[in-house]
Order: sequence, then structure tokens, then C-alpha cells
Amino acid sequence: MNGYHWLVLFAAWLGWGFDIFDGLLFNYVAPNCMPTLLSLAIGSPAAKAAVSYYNGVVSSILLVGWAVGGIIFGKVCDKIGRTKTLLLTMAMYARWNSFVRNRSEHGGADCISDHCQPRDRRRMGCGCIRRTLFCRRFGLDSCHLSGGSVNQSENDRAGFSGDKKLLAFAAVLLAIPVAALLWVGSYSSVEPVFAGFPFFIWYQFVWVFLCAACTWAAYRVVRKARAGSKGQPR
Amino acid sequence: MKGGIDYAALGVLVGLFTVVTVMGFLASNWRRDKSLHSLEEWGLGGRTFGTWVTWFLLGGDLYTAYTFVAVPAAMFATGAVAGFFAVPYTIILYPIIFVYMARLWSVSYRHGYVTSADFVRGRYGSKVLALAVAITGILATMPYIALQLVGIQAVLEVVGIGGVSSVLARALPLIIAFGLLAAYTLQAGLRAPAIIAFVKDALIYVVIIVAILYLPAKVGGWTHVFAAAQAKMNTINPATGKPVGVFVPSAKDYWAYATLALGSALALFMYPHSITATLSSRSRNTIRYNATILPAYSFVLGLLALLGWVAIAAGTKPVGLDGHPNAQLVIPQLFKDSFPSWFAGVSFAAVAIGALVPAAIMSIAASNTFTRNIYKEWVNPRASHSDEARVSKIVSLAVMALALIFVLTLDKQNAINFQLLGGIWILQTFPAVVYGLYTRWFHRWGLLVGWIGGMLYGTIAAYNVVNPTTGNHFAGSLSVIPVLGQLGYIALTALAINSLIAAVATVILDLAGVKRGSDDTVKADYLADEGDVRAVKGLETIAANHE
Repeated sequence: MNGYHWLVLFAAWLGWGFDIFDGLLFNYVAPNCMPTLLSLAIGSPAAKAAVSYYNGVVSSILLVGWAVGGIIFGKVCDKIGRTKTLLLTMAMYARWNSFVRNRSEHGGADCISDHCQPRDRRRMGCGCIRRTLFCRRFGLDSCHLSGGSVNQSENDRAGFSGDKKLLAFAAVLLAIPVAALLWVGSYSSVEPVFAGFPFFIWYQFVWVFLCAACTWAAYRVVRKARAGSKGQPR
Repeated sequence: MKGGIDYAALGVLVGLFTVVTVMGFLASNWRRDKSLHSLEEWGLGGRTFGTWVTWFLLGGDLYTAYTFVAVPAAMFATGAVAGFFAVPYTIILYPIIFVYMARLWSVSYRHGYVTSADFVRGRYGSKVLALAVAITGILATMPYIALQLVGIQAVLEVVGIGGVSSVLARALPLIIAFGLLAAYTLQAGLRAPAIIAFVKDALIYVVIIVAILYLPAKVGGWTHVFAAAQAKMNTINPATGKPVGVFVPSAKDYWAYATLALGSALALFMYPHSITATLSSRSRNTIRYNATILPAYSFVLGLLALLGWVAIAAGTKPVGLDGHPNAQLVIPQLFKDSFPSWFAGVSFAAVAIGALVPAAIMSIAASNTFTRNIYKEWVNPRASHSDEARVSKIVSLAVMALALIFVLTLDKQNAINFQLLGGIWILQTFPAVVYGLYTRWFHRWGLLVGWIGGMLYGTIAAYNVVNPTTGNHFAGSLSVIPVLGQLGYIALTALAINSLIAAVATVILDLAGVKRGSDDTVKADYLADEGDVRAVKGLETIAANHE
């Protein structure tokens, strides 16, 4: 394992972590949104029973789906390649989200995928924004973009050429802590208390370390992105 | 007076102070291979500082004595929004500076820029815009230096020195401390605070770790500390009919908390002293690597902020020697009440030495700015490198003397008001400096007009914040954000207005065909690194070798 492998591992871990976080968020909102959907009074015993029942069902479906999807799309990946598979899953995800949204008129995050979709479709033929995004995020060298080398000659002339994909990945890493801490509503609560510390306090202490980790990863990525360019000592 | 002078604490304080003074004088020989007769050497330590020196220097520079006194004091008095925002502020600070400070380092390295106004001058070819940036920097730095003295004063007052008895008794220790500081800064330049920063940071870490392990247990554990803080913050203030402070921000405080954190983070590296410390590093990556390790200080700052709440649980009564309650004294008082005298002395030394490092760097930065962007630009354009260094040294003395007079003659509240204004003002240089690092789309006069707009809005908005109890103006840094209708940090609103005006003015000026200045920089300058052959420093070294 060299430094870059560790970096990829860390990036993958981050991605996985946020995915899990996504799932956990559901548990937080469930006590409010599920009774609303089922027209039960929030906090009533009936609502609590319904929440724990449906929560169990939905979480189980999620886990099973996760495992099954992992196997199926692994096979699909072997047949048609990573990029196409990723596109396929995203298209499915976006379709499903907009479908759910149209049915229930409930959805904040879903709007995002709705907005993205027409653009995706337009670009699908000639380069594809999703692929770009994916490559940038994970710095996968195997994805070569047709339009990725704009300004390449200008950069070479100036004596440097940063890897644009890696730099964009670094930008994402740096944006994460800023966005997390400026979203004050996500952590301004006393509960859950940990070792006497209100959530509001310990959560921000935790971000000291997460932010240092993100910045460090960005540092490594930028070094990598700019490595090997002419006249630039590492 | 209560208790008189604490001689044991005072002895430790004076002893440590002496050690630091000797180190400061010896610093001029540290890592030096040529004379100190240029601003590169005196004012930037020859741009030779590596990762660790930069870490200590920036840490010593950014986390000032005033921070260490004021943040817990704000936690003690009004709670999380005014105090704990310092934690997210100093966390998101690092990803933010990671992005643009390396570019500023590179372009400054190649062109020999010493201040941000130097860069603005080169990038936009505008003496006037550079002057605006320089003056803003000096104006914002002066009260900051004065507040370092307030930090020392707070410590001395708790030790028992400097009551109302005589002006001289109050002034003498400060004059001695600042006289020594001025003397070794004059001799050693930026190397002096760089060396002292090691002692300062070591003391601060020891004191805070001991305090945070020992004190909460002593007052009944963290649960009790937070319960006491919550109880105090929820008490209704009879003067306003509102709670005294904020324990955990509620929905109406979100904007305030977030904009304070973001605005302060954007502003901090616009201050001349932060830029000086950054430019003194050896390579482009030093500052980036430092962005990953500097959060260690943020952690300590967070712990320190919590000590303000520990003081609530401990029932600390911060009362000044004049008999009036003064929240600024809460941390020294807490230490004095809870620690044995000798360790209280160590903690006071940490605060006092903590004041010297930033005060030295700030005065060097302010005098660099004056020399480069006012003296050389407007008074004596033919000044040589040694002229520049000489003027800078004299100005650094003047700056310290002014700060001293400021604190001794004016009410402390003025220094605090000006510092608040300084934070708002300094952020108004952001468009000229940081936007300029990426694009030259903005017109130089557009940026100037934007700067004027931001300065005016910020000053007026800050003036209109009135303390409901005392009726004083400049009572805080929050006011209603136009359009959004939420309370937010004035500096950030002013920056938005500033940017908007600059953009609109740019379009108008371009349509009117008003001439843009020349740009000294090229694209590759922004990515240059250590050892670059086109660096001004490189040329000077080559020239020196030929002599």
C-alpha cells in the first residue's frame, strides 16, 4: 500500500460514511414524517408503534437491497464497465425519486435529481456530466474524458499542468467541513449528550479532527495533482 | 483592593518574562546568513521558515492573548453565539486559506511582495487601490495591538498590580513590557516572535490541558458545568426582558452563528500580520501543510472557550481593581481562585507572553505595510532596501508607542470597539486581494468604489448597534441582513455589498472605456514554488553572489 492507495481507501471510506449517514438521517426524521404520511398524531402510541414497525421493514429492505444490488451490479459492471453501470444506477435512482415525488409531493432532496436530469440527458451523448463528476470525485484514471483537456496547451506553455480532476476532488474535500459547520441547524441541539457534553459542543470538537483529515487528504491530492509538472519540485 | 499583590504568581510571571526577553534578543542570530538590512530579512525572516516554525509562528500569531481572554469572557457573559462561534470559525478557516494563501505565497515569492497591498499594486497597476488596502490594514491592526495590551493588563490586574491608585503604577509594567518587546523586535525582526512563539505555545498548551483536566472535576463535573451555564443563559435580563445569553443556538441564531464564523474566517487572513506570517514560510506547500496541522489550536481554543462556562459553575466573580465587574477578567480570576500561586503565575505568563508574539508580528506587519505602500510609494520612491528596513524599524516603534498611548489614555471600550470595526473593515480588502488572485475581471476603480461602499455600510451598521442597557453604540457585530431579514455578521453583509458594487461598477467602467491598469503578473506566477529561478529573491541571491 502506498500513500495513494491509502488516499483512495480514505475517499472510499468517506463516501461510504456519508452513505451510512444518509441512512441514519432517515431514522431521525422517521418519528415525524412517518406519522404524517400515515395520518397519525405525532407522539401517540399508535404512531410510535407504526414508526418502529415501518422503520424495521424499510431498514431491512434497504439492507437487503444493498446486498442484492451489490451482487447484481457487480456482475453488470463486469459486462458493461464501471462508468456505464454507475450511469445506469444513477438514472434509476433519479427516475425512482422523481416518481416518488410526483406521487406524494413530498421531497426536498428529490428536486435536485429532477433538476439534474434534463441536463444529464442532453450531455449523455457527448461526455456526460455524471461521469465527469464521478471521475473527479474518485480520480479514476481509467475514465478519459473527451473534452477534459481544454487549455492543456496553455498550461503546458506556462510550465505546469495540474490534474483538473484531482483538483476538483480536492475542492470537494475542502468544501465538506465548511458546508457541515455553516449548516448550524444540523447540530444546534443539546441531545444526544455525550459524557456530559451537549451535542452542539462535542459535534464541533469532532469536526476539528474531521476537518483536519479532509484538509490533509486535500493536501495529498493537490500534491499528486501537481506532481511531475515541469519545473515544479514536489 | 482585594488580596493585594500575589508575590509568588508575580515572581513566576516575571521570571518567565525574562527568559523570553533574553530569547528575543538572541533571536537575531538565528538561521541568518546575511544582514538584516532589508525587509525580506527583517520583516519576513528571509522567507526561510519551514513547517514547524510556521506552525508555531502562525499559532502564536492568530490565537492571541486577547482571544484567550475575550472568547471565554464572551462565553461567560453571553454564551454560545458570541463565544463558541470561534470554534467553527477557526475550523473552517483552514480549508478556506488552503485554497488561496498558497497562490498569494507564490506570486509574492516571485515578485518580492511583502504585503497584500504590494500584490494589489502589481496586479491592478493602481497606487490608489493599493493605498486603500494598506490603510485598511494599518487601521485594522492598530486596535488589535492595543488589545494585546488589554490582555496583559487583565493579568496584571488579577495579580494585584495597577489599581486606581496611580496612573504611573498602572502604566509602568506595561511600558517596561512593551519597551523590551520593541527593543528586541527592532533588533531581530520577525525572528524574535518566531522564537518566542515556541515558549508561548508550550505554556498555553500546558496551562489549558491542566485546566481542562483539573477544573471541571473540581467544580462538580462537566454535567454540572453545562447545567450551570444553561441556567445562567436562560435567566431573564431585567433590562431587556430577554434571556442573558445563548446556551445552544436556536433557529433565530443560525444565521448569526454561521455568518460570524464565515466572516471571521475570511477576514483573518486579510490582516497584515497573518499575511506576514504566511509569506515568511519557505515554500508554497508549507502553508498548505500547516492548514492540516493548525486545527490543533482550534481544539485548544474550544477547550478554552468552555473554561468560560466552567467559571460560571465555579462561581467566579470577575471584579476589577476599580470595583466594577469586568467579564474580561474571568479567566485570570478563575486561575487565581483555583490554582496554587505558582501555577497561576505560569498561566498568567502564558497570557502575557501570548500577547507579545502577536503584538510583535502585528507591529512588524503594520510597519512593513506603511513602508512599502505609503512611504516608498508616495514619499520616497527611490528608497533602497536598507532604507526600507530602517524606516520599517522606526515605524514599528511608533506603532507600539501609539498602541500603548491608546490603551493608557483611552477607555478600554474604545479599543474593543475599534477592533470590532477593524474586523469589518479588513474584510473589505477581500475582493481586491483574493478575487485578484484568480481573476482580473474586476476593474481597479470598480474595486475601489466597492471598497468605499463596504467600508461605509459596515461602519454605519456597526454604529447603529446600540446596547439596550447602557445606550452605547458599537455594542456588537450583528445586525439585520437586508433582504434576508435575519441577524448576521455585519462584515459579511458589507462584503456582499462591496462585491456587488465592484461588479456593477466594473461593467459600467468597461462600457465607458475607462482604462485598466497594467498587470505585472503572469499566470505561472501563481503556482511558483521554492527555488524558482524567476523569483525576485533568487535574482537578489545571484546578484549578491556576484558582488
